[in-house]
Amino acid sequence: MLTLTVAATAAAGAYAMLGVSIVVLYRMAGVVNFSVAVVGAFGAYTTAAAFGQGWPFGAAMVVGIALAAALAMLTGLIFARFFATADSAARTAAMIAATVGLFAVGFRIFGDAPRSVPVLFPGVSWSAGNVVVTLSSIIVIGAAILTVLLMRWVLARTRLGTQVRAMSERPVTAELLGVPIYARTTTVWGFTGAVSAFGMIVVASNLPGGFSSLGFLIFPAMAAALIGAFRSLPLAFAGGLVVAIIESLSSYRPSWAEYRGAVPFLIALVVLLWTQRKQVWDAAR
Amino acid sequence: MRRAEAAGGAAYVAGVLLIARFADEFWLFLLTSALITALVAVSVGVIYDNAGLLSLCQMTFAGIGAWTVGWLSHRTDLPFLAQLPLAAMVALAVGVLVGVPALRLRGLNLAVFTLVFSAAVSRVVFADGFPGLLEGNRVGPPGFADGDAGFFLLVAVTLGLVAAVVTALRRARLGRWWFSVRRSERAVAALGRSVVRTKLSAFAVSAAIAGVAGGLLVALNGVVSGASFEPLESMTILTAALMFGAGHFEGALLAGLFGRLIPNFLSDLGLPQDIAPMIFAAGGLAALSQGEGGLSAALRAGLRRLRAPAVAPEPVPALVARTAGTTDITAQPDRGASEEDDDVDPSTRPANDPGRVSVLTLERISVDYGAVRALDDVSLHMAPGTILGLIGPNGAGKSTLVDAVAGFIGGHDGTVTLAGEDIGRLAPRLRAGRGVRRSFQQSHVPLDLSIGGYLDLAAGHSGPPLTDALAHFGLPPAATAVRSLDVGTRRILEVCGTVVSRPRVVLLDEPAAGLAGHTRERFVAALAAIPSTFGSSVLLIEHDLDVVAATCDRVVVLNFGRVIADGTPDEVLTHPAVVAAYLGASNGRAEPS
Repeated sequence: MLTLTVAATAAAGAYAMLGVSIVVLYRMAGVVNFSVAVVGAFGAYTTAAAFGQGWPFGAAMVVGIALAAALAMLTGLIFARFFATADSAARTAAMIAATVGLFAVGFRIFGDAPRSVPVLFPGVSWSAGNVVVTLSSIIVIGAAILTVLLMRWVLARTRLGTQVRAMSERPVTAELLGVPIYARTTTVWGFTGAVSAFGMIVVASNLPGGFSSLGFLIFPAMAAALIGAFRSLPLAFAGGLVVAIIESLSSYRPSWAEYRGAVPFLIALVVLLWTQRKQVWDAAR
Repeated sequence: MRRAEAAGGAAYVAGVLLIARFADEFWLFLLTSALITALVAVSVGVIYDNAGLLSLCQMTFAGIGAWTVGWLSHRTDLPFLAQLPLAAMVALAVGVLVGVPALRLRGLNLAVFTLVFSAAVSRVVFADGFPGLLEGNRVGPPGFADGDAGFFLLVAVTLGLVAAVVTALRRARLGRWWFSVRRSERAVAALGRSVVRTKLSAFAVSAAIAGVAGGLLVALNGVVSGASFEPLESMTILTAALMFGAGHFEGALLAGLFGRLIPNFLSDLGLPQDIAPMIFAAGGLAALSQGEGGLSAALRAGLRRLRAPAVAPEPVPALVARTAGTTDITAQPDRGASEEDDDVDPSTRPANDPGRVSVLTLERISVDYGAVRALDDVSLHMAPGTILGLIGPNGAGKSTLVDAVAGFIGGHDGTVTLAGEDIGRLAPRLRAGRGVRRSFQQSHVPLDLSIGGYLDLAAGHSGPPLTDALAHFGLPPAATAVRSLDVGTRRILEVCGTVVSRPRVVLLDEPAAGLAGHTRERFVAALAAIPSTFGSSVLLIEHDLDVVAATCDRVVVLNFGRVIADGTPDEVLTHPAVVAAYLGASNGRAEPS
């Protein structure tokens, strides 16, 4: 019988949120954002720190989200300035370097000891059968759905969407056509930073580990983005739910529990074997 | 550069001996661990700098090596020096297992896949501890290398040996294939080489090197924990390798040294050690923004400029005055030898004999890109030893036709017959192996090779002496670095690479584009002489109708994916439909001839 705990539903929402923001950034800026979880972790821990100083939770959350957005914008500026025309391998490598730097800054500021992050809307939950859903899980899953819908609309229907799509494919051409590259890039990066911080704040109260355990949510988030093939927002959203559910199932029996950490890998394996079953050639003729 | 490398090697040996003689226990430990880190950086150099693949699980392979050594010392009596190769083998085997599903992946997907693989191993395998270590079994260094100086020397010798092997591999065929696959997968397949095997070999070699490093690490520390092999550790060492440029040994060595020494200096300065990764991140980003290769590549480029301030381009002997004398380019290719006789068994003929069969026959080829029909029912044949021109306006389907013949389009209708054999379902590299070679519109020649190194890959084992081919195309000497060639010469080199294996058919996609003046004239003459010199038939895509008229025996015109004319250059270039297609006149209805 399927038992979904509070942690699993919160994780589902957070994975979906992170997976969706990875895909959004990949489509809009052409970068695989390995730092999405660590930037979100900054937001969550800043929120916790401000709350610990006696700030009201709402204000603490705004500060945390704003900080994450600012960090993401800074990363985005570095990419727009130095790596706009770099090839995909170099951009991915640069993203790894940036992620390593962000982790180091995070450890320096927050340490890696476990911290308690306040629960958003504590105590409000419903249970139906074996599924327990908290209000915060519903909110984060709802926010992920909203993000998917909003981004689909922006990408397909708005001038901003056309501009960022042009930017991600042909940055120089877009700039020559008068697209304000830096402004657009920072907007997109900042948005994904804010979104991932929100997801992370919700999930952080259920995660006992320290800063690194939040940052390492990049693994399930990447698996979710991979399910969406780095293109489809709805599939990345669904991917986040699938990863969380399978992880939760693996805790169902004690003998399976130790393989929980392998779930993103197994999912990635299946997805890649399926999507890459035909030989695909690199683009350049 | 080789002399500089020899001097660098001597400096390494001298430094190692001095350190082993004079350094105290603390420094020996620190430097030993620095050299082990350098070994991991060497493995990053192979996979990223040489083969261009982003792997985020190098420390996982090191952990697998450490796990193996731990298990072997716990369960067996094997001496440490026997455990180390086994650690490499186990890491290599795991590398192949992980590589097989990852082998079609490039850039993005491979990085994601290795990242989640690293996380899975770290959490499922390493989290349970390393064999024997929980029971308090310490892995000790071998008796002869007991003591800090002895073990330091063992690590230094291992690193030196691995570096020497890797440097030799880079110059051997395997390493040159790695550079080629980094430049272009298509080009590797077009030279008849398996892309998958090339990438897998780089992945496996780098996994084995990392495995050795892990084995040494466990012997240095006696015990290890999974924390040393976390995904973040792999990312950090990749970042340090990016900064220093692990594609060259000195870069890997610097990455190792600074990776271990910077934290130490920081704490000497009273600063926290954990800002070291920030320094690597900043350095890695700075190095990447300056282009490939990191610090070591910049150093080598500087050295090269110092030693050879201005290299005058080699005077290239005029084509007609070549010494090789194998070709008389003033003679026209044998235009009589084109009677068709498809019934002749091709297996009875040597591959390069310009016999009397249609060497390449396309029947009813159609290709659709979504709703666009790029090729529509195209049939043509090529007589052996001739040059067939393929012309048509932009978007007519010329390059698509080359892709279809060379095998780069997954699904097309119709058949492609090469000397009697249906090759229409074969992978590109198998078609190349059977004698279909192609060039690309944009040069895919790997910049890290020499001219001779590239042509040797292209020729396989059966080419004519390279000097003849170089002379035929008026190329600089074989030792010249591709990187130092201008773009036009690189294109000529690519064309030379397609014919040097004496294939049955070469498909040249606008080979003369971007060449001008004297170079162009000489190149066109060299093109015209390909059939008589190399025995290959040529399918030539070309926009310049003067070139077509000067070189081609027959010309086929494509427009909107259909053949609209087929005949001698004179017939075709005056054909009303061709004139209409080129000049855009609306009176002449395009009609297949």
